[in-house]
Amino acid sequence: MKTIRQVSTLQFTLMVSAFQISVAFLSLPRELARQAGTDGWIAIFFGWGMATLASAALVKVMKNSPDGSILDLIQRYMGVWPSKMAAFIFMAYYLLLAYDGFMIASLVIKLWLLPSTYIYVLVLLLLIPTFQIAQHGFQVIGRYSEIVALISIWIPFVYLTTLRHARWLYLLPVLKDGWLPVLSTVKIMFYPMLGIGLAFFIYPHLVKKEKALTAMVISNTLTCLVYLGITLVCYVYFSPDEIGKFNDPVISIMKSIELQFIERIEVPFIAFYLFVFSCIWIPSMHLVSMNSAWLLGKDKERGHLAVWCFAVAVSFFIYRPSFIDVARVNNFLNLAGFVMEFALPVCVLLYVAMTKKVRGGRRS
Amino acid sequence: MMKERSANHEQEEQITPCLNESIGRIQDMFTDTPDLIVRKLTIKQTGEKAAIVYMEELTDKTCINHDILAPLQLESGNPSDDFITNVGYVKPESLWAKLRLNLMLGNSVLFIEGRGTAYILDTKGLPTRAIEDPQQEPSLKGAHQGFIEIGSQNIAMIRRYIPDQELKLRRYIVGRRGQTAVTLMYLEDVAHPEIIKVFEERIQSIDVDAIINTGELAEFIEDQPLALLPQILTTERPDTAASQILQGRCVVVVDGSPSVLVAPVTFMSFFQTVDDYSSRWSISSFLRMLRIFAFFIAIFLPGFYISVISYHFEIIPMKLLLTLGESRGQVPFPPFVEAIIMEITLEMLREAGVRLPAPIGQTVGIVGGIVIGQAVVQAGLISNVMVIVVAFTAISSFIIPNQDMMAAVRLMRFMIMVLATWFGFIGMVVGMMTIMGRLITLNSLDTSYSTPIAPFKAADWKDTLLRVPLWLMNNRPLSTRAIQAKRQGRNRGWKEKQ
Repeated sequence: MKTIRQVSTLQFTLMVSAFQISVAFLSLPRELARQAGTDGWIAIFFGWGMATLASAALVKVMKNSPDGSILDLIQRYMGVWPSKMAAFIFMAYYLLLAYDGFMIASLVIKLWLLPSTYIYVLVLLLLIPTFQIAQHGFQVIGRYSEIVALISIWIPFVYLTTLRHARWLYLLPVLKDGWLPVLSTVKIMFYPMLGIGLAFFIYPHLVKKEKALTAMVISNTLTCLVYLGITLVCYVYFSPDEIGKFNDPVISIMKSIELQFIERIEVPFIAFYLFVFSCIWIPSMHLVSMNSAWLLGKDKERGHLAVWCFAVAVSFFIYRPSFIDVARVNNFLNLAGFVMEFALPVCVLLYVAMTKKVRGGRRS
Repeated sequence: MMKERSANHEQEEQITPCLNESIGRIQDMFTDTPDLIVRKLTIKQTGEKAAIVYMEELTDKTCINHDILAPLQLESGNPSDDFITNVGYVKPESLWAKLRLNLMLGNSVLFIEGRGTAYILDTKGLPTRAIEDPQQEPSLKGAHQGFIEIGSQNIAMIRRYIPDQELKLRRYIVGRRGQTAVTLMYLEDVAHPEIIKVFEERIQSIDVDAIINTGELAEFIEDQPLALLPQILTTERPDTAASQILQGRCVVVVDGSPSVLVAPVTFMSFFQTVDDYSSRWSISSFLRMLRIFAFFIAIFLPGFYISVISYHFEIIPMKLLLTLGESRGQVPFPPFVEAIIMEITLEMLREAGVRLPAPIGQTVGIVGGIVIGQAVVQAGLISNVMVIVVAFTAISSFIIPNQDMMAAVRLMRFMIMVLATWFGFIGMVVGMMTIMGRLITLNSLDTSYSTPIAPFKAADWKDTLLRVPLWLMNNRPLSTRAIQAKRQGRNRGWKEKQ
């Protein structure tokens, strides 16, 4: 067995958190506002609760397989063919996540920064560092997430400066339509919390496996704090009527920031935010190549990664997505993410528990 | 097959007791070598005939005359000695191959009639220069001593800072024809044994004619010699080398070269100078942050200018926009061509300044900087903002203390300029991502290059952006994987007594 490269707890926390924040950050306030008006921020707490429960189930599942990923676990308990099927499903799921990430990033770039550049050229450009970093595995991706977290520390403070124009009255009255809109908004909170599924594959690489659950709770909390912050900032800035009308309220809010030496600060901001965007497609592409390598039984992940990067670029050449496609994919990912990262750990946990009981019963 | 056998036979050939045969053999081996001296003499003590053989310019002739010839020919002493000499190092040797090698290194060989072994005497007297301030790494407050070309003297200069018996040396001979002595120095109870093993393995697997300079050795033992960023630190200062050994790293001294190698190092090691630790902590921290800031400016400023002018002019404030527009309006070239012309001109000036003798070099620098810059703006070929950008970039790259890192920065700048020309800010960000990706995947002798930034080691941040006061740096940096971590106790103990 090849040597497993170690991922520290901090790297794990930041990897999961960055994965969760990266694409949902831009659209979350709008989505919450459309569903629940100005009470949408309460749904974030429910999202946190669900993610924590799912993380607990996930870590419990992975405790059964400390040296292998979820695919090894499935292979051990269910056989080779179910594990190959699982690898295929994971591959498709992470491919969709990566495609979603590339799509949102390149559409936002096309909208705000480089309108005349072809979208497949942008995607091809973004694939260069992806290939370079994703080929080395989770240790390097963890380090990358650490650096990105370090250089993104200033972003919350920038948003706090927009509170100059805040009107806290927009938030009141709390729960004006009752609990029902809030509870029905909870169903769209799955997409922003996607990322806990990374633990399926990172768990064997962790140095301190006993801290895995703590790390996941911390990263969920960090993500939800960020979401809460940005949602509240957007809600107090935009009026309740107009917030559902902006595609990217998070970027539009930057128009209120005026500096003496630079105008249109959202332009360098989006360019900089590309670092955080990359935290979703780099681990996703790595997982796609890992799963496809598992399917074909070979170890050449790098070759698989090259093929998949090329495939993604070609797909953008063939079909040019728009923001409507983004909405469609996000909705689908909401459901798919619920199945893959929330329902699947619970199912696998139940299956493993039952199998153990049956096997234990047989032995005794 | 025949040649191999005779070569092996030659390696094992021993001298015979006959003196005339030995002298004849030496003269056969060293044809076309007029600087080989064969001096026949009679030893007074025993009356035996003997001959001393040495290379004229490689040896210390005073030593030969006073310490070998004089005692042998004039003194008669205790008959139980092999022979009388005042030389410190004497070694009996009977293999022709070794005798020949030692002659070429500057030692003398003494043949005595009737004895089956010859004697090698240490009489090395290679031409050397005085110890001076290292040119490339001057310091304001540190010692003004730099390494010279004699390996043993360099080792002595380092030993002076660490007179500890744990300072161990391992000597290797590298190069078939060069036979260069490469010495690995480390503290045995501090340096990680795995690192020493990796070093040894890499040095011993070098099969080359000769190593002329340390840079060649660095290229052979580096993890990724094709990468732009250096992974091994070279220094010409004994105090830097000693300080790195004390932190837990290993130093390689190459005979014949005034630079030594230090490994394993991290990215931040290239921004540390010896003055940081002898100046006050506040100014050291400020300069450290200035250097890192200069690193980013030197790489990204031309690209930033190009992308702002070409793609994102909407971020420039109105007043500046008018000035920029006016200065750019006269220039016939697109921003990228303008930038490339100025950058290449600057690189040529820099390279020319290296080769010219000091007074002319300074004049050329001033002429190039002021006159060409001014003339080119007045001719309308380049905008004056571009000249400012290029000058600022050049100054920033000069702030970086290490030559290899400076060279890497100069090259990365061009890559970022190209990306900025094609894709504006996005190109620059992708370039930054690629550079970050390179940093985090590089290893220096199997240890991570980008620590303490990633993987994040909080304890090592004491010497990264800031240089915290020395009495807080109790442990050696984690990046060296030292097996003995504590390096100081309370060094302000007097304060507590007050």
